[in-house]
Amino acid sequence: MNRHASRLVAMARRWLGVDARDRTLDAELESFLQHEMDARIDEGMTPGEARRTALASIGGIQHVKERARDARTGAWLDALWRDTSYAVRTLRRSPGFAATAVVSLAGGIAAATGLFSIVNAALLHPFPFADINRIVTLGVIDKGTPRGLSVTARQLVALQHSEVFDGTFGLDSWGMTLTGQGLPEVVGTQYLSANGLNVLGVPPLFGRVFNEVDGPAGEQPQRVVVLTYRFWQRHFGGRPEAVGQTLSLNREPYTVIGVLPRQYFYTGPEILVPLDLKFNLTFASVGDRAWAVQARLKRGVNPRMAEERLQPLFDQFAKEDPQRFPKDVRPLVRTLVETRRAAGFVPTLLLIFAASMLLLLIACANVSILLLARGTSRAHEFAVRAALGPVSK
Amino acid sequence: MLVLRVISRGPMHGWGLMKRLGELTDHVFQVTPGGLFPALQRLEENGWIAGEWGLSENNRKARFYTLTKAGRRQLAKEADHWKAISVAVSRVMEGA
Repeated sequence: MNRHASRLVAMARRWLGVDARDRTLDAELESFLQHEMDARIDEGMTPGEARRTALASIGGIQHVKERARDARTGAWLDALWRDTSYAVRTLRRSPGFAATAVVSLAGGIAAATGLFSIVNAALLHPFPFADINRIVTLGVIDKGTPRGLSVTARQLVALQHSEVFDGTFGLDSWGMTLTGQGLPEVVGTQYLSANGLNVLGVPPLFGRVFNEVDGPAGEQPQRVVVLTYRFWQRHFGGRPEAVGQTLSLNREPYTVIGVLPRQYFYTGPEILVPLDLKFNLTFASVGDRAWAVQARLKRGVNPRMAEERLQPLFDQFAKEDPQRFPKDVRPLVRTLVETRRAAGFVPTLLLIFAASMLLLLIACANVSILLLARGTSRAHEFAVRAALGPVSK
Repeated sequence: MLVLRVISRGPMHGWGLMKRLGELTDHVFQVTPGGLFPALQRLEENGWIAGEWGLSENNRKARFYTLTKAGRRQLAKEADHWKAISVAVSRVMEGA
């Protein structure tokens, strides 16, 4: 491998004209030396004496060559190659040292990059949705304490008409019982208002995702189901014919209309169905059904502006529904990313990340101490080299 | 600039150039090979001088440098610049 590398370098040098220029320089210096010697012989020196004093007056041919090389454009490339090949040579001479250095650096780098991947996935790019910075979760601040918001179907419709959002949907998660395929099982289900997947910008891998037509506000939604990639793999072995089949969920037939790409909902729910948003006033006696709300901000609206403009609507909710909306309640609008960053595991994760960074630092310190130790053990060699005079870099 | 000026009088090789510079400046500027050859290389890279092998007065092989057109332009530019500076400096020194 080394031979190939040096051949490659030789080719590059020829191509760059480095060798030709080196030869010219050699010849030129030789010519210079001859002239200097001739002059000294004219002054009456013996040829031997002339050569010696002439060489001395030049002050080291090698030194002049080095300086001339450094003056060329692209000299750093040459220097880089010489330094690299020197480093490789010395590392090969002491494989134990090289192995220790490589292993400790590799360990440090592995830990750091591994944890960075986790931080990246959990905090920097936690969701695959389009326009992730505009997707917000709605909450309330009740006497200074933030808490979740739950709204009735009518309140959701009111929020959908708000000027700050260009898409608002309710969501809930529950289990549905799947029967008709061997043993019954409970399948984690994400309920979303029929527009939810469109607001999140989730495209189908096969078939289609549900939309407003499948579940208009105030009406019984269509019995349709969208499968996550995992569920599709598990139950249909990844066959595209899954679309159009019927699943018996909670003893009702649901038609499979689409499958999501792998990166959507890859943890949590396995199937997605439209949320039932009937305006059912009889529920009032047992407490209205209510759901969490997410929305997509209009372009140019930030969460703080949205909170301000939602205040009148929330005041109205407080008047109509004092049980769920106590007095002086304020809206809280946070992006999904913010919500995630406020989660409890974040400090721990950051701590582990910092620890891994420290680990990398320690690995670097280890290697530098190793180098220092080796430097000390080579003090003898350095002394000899220094005594012999200028050395090529 | 000095190297360009000396070469502008006619082709010169490295050793001759060094001696000539020493003589012309009454050995105020002692050019060493360590300074000269890198300078010559830079000038050649910039296309201001061109080198060619030939025989010197004492029948030695030597590389003779001549000024190119670009070198002539460069020399004029640097000379003007130097003149302006030296005039300015001497004015200050005499006026002060």
